[in-house]
Amino acid sequence: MMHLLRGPALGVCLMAWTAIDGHARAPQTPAPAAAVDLDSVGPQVGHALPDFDLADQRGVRRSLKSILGPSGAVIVFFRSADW
Amino acid sequence: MELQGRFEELRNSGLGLAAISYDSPEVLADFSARRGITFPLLSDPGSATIKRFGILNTTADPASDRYGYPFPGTFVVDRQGVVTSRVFEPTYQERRTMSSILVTLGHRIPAPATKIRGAHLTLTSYATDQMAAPGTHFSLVLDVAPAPHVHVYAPNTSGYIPVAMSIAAQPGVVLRSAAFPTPEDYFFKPLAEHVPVYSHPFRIVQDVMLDPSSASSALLKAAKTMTITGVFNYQACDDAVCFPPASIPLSWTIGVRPLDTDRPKR
Repeated sequence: MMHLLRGPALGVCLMAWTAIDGHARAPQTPAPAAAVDLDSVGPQVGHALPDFDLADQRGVRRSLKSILGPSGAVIVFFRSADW
Repeated sequence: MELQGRFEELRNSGLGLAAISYDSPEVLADFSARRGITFPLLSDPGSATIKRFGILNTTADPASDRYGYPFPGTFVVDRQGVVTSRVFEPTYQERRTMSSILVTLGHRIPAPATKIRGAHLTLTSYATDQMAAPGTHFSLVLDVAPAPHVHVYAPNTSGYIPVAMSIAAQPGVVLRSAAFPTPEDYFFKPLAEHVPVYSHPFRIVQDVMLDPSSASSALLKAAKTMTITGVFNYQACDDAVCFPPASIPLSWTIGVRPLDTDRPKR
């Protein structure tokens, strides 16, 4: 087993690294520019989610508290189930 | 809806689930019946809650009869209702999967994984989702377990070769950022230096998306599966020596399905 020393021997490692790293690095495609900064809309991390009182598909009223499990909840906003 | 498939998992993780839209309870009841949805779909007619949350889609035309819908997004809250994570997608076709959100939060999800034994470490590699449509935003996950007494170097380490996961660019796939955990501080006595390393199991999450743009639609329409390849590069060291840099090829294959356009018949 070849043991490469730290520090001064590092140049050797770097050369080997370059040689094996022939794999194409993928471009990190940025998100398309939006007119609205989506990071700034709605409640932010660390802030309380506003409570709500809404009917579900069976007509039962639901609040945030009624949705929360012992570890919390996932609340999804979607556009529409109608179009 | 992908969410229904994750409802049980979320519940096992102690997380409640609800999805809110401005549809009437009747539309939601019809949608639930057709899709077998058992978690709460909440009706916000008039968009009062959407507006109170500050997520009304302001780019929509107020004169349109569709006006009032939100920017689609997901909040994860703790049991006090405080936001711990949030995702808003730039275009409506884009949707991050629940599995991807759960993995990023550190949860385990059931997924077929590949175990690879490398020199001085073990990799467990999987995709958060087995099926994706154009716009599906999911994650490629690499759980890395260094062998006992071995460490690898965190990204942006200078003077050492850091761990890196490089994914091959290919048409139809948009690569987002890869997330690495906060490293440990390692003190290397002989050189009296502090270096950021990983010596315990850690997770790399690479976010990817099937390209929803028209440029990729023909390609994705014809594809039954997509194979994404990459390579994991690292150098392992123990307290005395560094081993030669190593490279492990990676591959994930997922099924491709068309965009979900199922809606009530008029």
